[in-house]
Amino acid sequence: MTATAMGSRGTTRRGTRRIARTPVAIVSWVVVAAYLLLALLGPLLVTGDPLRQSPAALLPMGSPGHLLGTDDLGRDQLVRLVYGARPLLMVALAATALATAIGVAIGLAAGYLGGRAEQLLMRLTDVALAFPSVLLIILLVAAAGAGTSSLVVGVGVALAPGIARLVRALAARESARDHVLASRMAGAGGLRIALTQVLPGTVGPLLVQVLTTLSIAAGFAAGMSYLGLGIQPPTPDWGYMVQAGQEFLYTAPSLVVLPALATLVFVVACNFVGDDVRDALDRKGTP
Amino acid sequence: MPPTTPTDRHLSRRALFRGVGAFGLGVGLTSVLSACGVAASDGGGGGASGGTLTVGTDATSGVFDPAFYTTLGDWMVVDSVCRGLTFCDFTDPDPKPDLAESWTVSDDGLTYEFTLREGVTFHDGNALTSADVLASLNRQLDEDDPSLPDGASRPFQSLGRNLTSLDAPDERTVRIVLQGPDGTLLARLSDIGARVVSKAALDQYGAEIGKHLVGTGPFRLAAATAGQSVTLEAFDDFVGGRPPVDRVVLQQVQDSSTMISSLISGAVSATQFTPYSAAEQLRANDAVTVHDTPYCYDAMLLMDVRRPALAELEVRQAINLAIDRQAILDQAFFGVGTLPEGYVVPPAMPGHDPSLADLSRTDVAEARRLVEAAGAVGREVRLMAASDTWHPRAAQVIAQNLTDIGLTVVSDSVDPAAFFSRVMDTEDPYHEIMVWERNSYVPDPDNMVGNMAVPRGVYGSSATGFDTLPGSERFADDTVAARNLPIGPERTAAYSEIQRRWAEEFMVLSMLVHSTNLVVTGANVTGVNVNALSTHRCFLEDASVGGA
Amino acid sequence: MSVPTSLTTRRARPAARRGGSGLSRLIVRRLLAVPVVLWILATLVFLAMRLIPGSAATALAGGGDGLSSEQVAQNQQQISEALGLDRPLLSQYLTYLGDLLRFDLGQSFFGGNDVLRLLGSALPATLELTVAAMTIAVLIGGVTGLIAAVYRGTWIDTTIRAVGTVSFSLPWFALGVLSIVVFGVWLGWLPVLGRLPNSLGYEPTTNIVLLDAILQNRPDLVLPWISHLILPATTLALSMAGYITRIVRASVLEVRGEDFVRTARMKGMAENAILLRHVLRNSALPIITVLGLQFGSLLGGAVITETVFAYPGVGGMVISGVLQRDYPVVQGAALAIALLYTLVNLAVDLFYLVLDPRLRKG
Repeated sequence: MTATAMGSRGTTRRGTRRIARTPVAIVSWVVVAAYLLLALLGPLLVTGDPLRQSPAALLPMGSPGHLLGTDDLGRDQLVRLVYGARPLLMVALAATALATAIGVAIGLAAGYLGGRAEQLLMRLTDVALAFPSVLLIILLVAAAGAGTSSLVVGVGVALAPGIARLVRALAARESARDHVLASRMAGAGGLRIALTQVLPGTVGPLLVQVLTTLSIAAGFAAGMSYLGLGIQPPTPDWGYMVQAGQEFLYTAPSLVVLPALATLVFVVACNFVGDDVRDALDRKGTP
Repeated sequence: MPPTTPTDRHLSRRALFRGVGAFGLGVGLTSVLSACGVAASDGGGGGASGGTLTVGTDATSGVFDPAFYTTLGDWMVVDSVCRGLTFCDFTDPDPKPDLAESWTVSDDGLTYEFTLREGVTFHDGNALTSADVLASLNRQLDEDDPSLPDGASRPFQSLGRNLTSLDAPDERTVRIVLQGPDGTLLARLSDIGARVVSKAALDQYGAEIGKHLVGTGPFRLAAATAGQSVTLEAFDDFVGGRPPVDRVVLQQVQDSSTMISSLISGAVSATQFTPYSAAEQLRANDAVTVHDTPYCYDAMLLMDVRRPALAELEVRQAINLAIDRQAILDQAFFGVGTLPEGYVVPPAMPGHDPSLADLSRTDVAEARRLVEAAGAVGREVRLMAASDTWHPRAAQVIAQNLTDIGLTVVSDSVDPAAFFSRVMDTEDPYHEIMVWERNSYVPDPDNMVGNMAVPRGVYGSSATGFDTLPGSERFADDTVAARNLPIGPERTAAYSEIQRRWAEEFMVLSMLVHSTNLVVTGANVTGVNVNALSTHRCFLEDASVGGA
Repeated sequence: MSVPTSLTTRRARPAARRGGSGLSRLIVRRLLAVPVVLWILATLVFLAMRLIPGSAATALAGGGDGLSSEQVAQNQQQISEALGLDRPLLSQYLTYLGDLLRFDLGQSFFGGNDVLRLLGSALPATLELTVAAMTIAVLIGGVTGLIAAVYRGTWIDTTIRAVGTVSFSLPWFALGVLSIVVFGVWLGWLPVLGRLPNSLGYEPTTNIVLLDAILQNRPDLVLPWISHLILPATTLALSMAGYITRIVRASVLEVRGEDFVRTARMKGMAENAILLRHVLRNSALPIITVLGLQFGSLLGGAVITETVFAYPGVGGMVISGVLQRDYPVVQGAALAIALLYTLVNLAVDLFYLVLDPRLRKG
């Protein structure tokens, strides 16, 4: 997916301003695209098996045949870093998609329906929000058993309420607009109005929120793997690599620093991209 | 032997070792009198005094009760606050007098009579009597004892299985009558579960005793905060003399990298919870001392023979032959340990026999051949390991080794808290090949072979299904017979024979390495009993902190 | 994160418009919701804990040795009974709720410590940590946000925003470990673990160190306490500071564009005076709301930070409770965290309602 492709989706019917105008923004779009490419094509870019162990453990960076050295089990660090992009992005994207689906459904229903339904749905999100997401994820993942799928569900569920709140507010605003009221008076069905009249108006701010959620999800995914609750070894995963490398912080700091940096750069880029979309939207009306 | 003064205590203790050694765990002899020598009190590191010694531990729940095992850290507190009838100082395997200054054993090996030391006081000022010993041991035997808190596991309850009576003929005598001889009784009485608590305190606090533990040990309980730390203070009237340090703090440190940093920065000055990965860097650091403690820790694979995938002996043998133990030693234990030459009896234990080295040899070609012969090429096997310390690294090496001989490995990494219950659960889908370890809390081969090769124990039954194999019944009697032989070549030979037969004919347990819990102290700390600490025992009565 | 949520969500509802009692009605409604939220949460945590494989009874039974498989199983059974774990889920749940109504949070499975008592020692420590972190974050975030707004569009603004974004993207899980190595070991400036030095005898009265230092006349506690707090609090504050920078910048800019500021400017007020008198005051509202919401992630971050720094707070309690399957401890600590968070947000809401009359009138 290229920056322009994302860009055409990033503009709304109200905002026509192009995105990615500043150097920081351009770099961020490129970085996000590069990570996506890495996740898709990574295994084609490097030769070597990320799981293959060798007696040559803990080689320093720049060793012959191992540009970034080897880890504690003698596995090539470069290969593992490259392969590590996919699990992280997969979990982050899937969790974000799940959070968005749940959040939009709840938020749209609450914002459009109003009344008791809104009360009930919003209390539910209040419960979820009354508890730090990290704890919520730890409990959910621990209960479901550590692993990729429970990680996706845990992060997705924990991040859904934030989206629900936003969508509900936007939907309520949109519902009060003249064209929606007009359709309603014209007797159009509720679901149809919600999807065709209300939802489009929320797309811009929602996209910003989704990008932010993506960055948070990536942080959580790596964090949970770090805590041993996420992607399980020997699958190369940045969060787990940080955790496993931590004991070598004094002797081989690159084992911690590189995967941590890889995570950081992606999260930062996602946030900058979110900023960029927001800036683009801010020129026209408030989100 | 005449009573001694502190100056000749050391000498008399040595003499005592010889005496007890000759006595050989009490079979057939009638009496050993040792009116001298409180165990492990050599006067410490040159009389340096005062200061605080901070010990890093796994966790503390703020409750310390010999009848209630909670965490290793709590157990270390019990070890410091309370003493037992006998004492093992981990320099040799023989139990020494402690609260009992002497004992006699009847010719049939069934009746033990302990004479209590005079002049021992509890931290609450009361003098030790036989009533204290009875009250403490009875709590372990009677599940309805009113002083037991909910959930108490009574770790010494196994005494009750072989007990005829436990009584006190007088204030200074305790008598234990067994149903059958048990050569390990004296050693087991030195274990933490058999520690003696003040009866007055038990009467006063009841089930709350764990928050107010009163013993006769070198340190008394001063303060405890669950999840944080426990503060112990030197006991002035300790029978072996006041310890050199004023205060011992057992500090909970759960993050392994924080433990490393704390050792280097001096925030923690002794611990056995050091990650193996830090051994090399800590050895190179002048601020700390890394101790080479004896290897008395078994790392192993347990194989469940009830699973179709492991039903054939050939497959289990192939797995045993496939394992690259050197790689595990290097990459999971970072060189802290040795190849398992003595099968399950580690080098630090009497009965260690290097002629068993072939039971743990590596021969990949032979392993491949066995897998092919069994028609098991490509067969799926399941591997389960805890997700902490050395386990994940070892599991990854093993997975690679088994893949290399043609098996397909499916791994599961398990939260350490759930691991034991999953080993006990034979229905668990991953209950097939399990990475596990065993510490020797008491330095006797019975603690390893006697626990692991018996068909009905946790290892033989729940974990491996060894008890379902024909021919396994014999091992129950064989291990009891070996246990009651005096320490020496005959006993070693008996254990070696059991082990060889167990490994060659059944192969339910594949040894990985012998290791030790890595003990590291601050460079200014002296007198810590590091051998004991490496098996999670906490004897700090001689420890001192330099420059304090 | 994009929109200060309350700006859009807390619209004046028709219900609030009726009569002059709008504010008190709102307050009552919010207060009534608290127990409901806590009940649902207590139920969720109760169920989640019991879904986690493994039980405290197994861990406790594992302490014995020399027992056969049957005896271990029997031992486990006895311990389960003693702890009430063998009873049907519904009966366990009803007992739990009954106890909860009497403010009895139960006892730890590991030794029977009263959970309420454990919280009494852990909660003040966590409060100290989070308040310190919040203070640091607000100081850093407030100043940088204001500067960025004042110098909007310049390189200063760009740099501050970029650094801010990076700071709240930092991998929170690795930050503590890295800061220990750098400041605790390499530089040796700060202590690496705990709340106070072990050599310092401290017998808590309130367990809030600063208060105890006054009550017990122990000025010697203060400096070591601060030095122990700096690393964990800063670690915790860093990811939040960047976020506050953003919010401050955004709301200052928003307020600056509003009519009354333009009026003041036309009246010839100095720009600094405008900034202080009008802009800051009016942009405080959304900032405070966001701080309330962020308090939750701070508490979440404390869970990790406390474990890394061996800091004796509620977060560490939750983690070791989950690891040990100590249900009463996890349930109690989770409830305490939720209650704390709910109350903080309630306070923010009330504050907001009191300060902003527009919301009352609708």
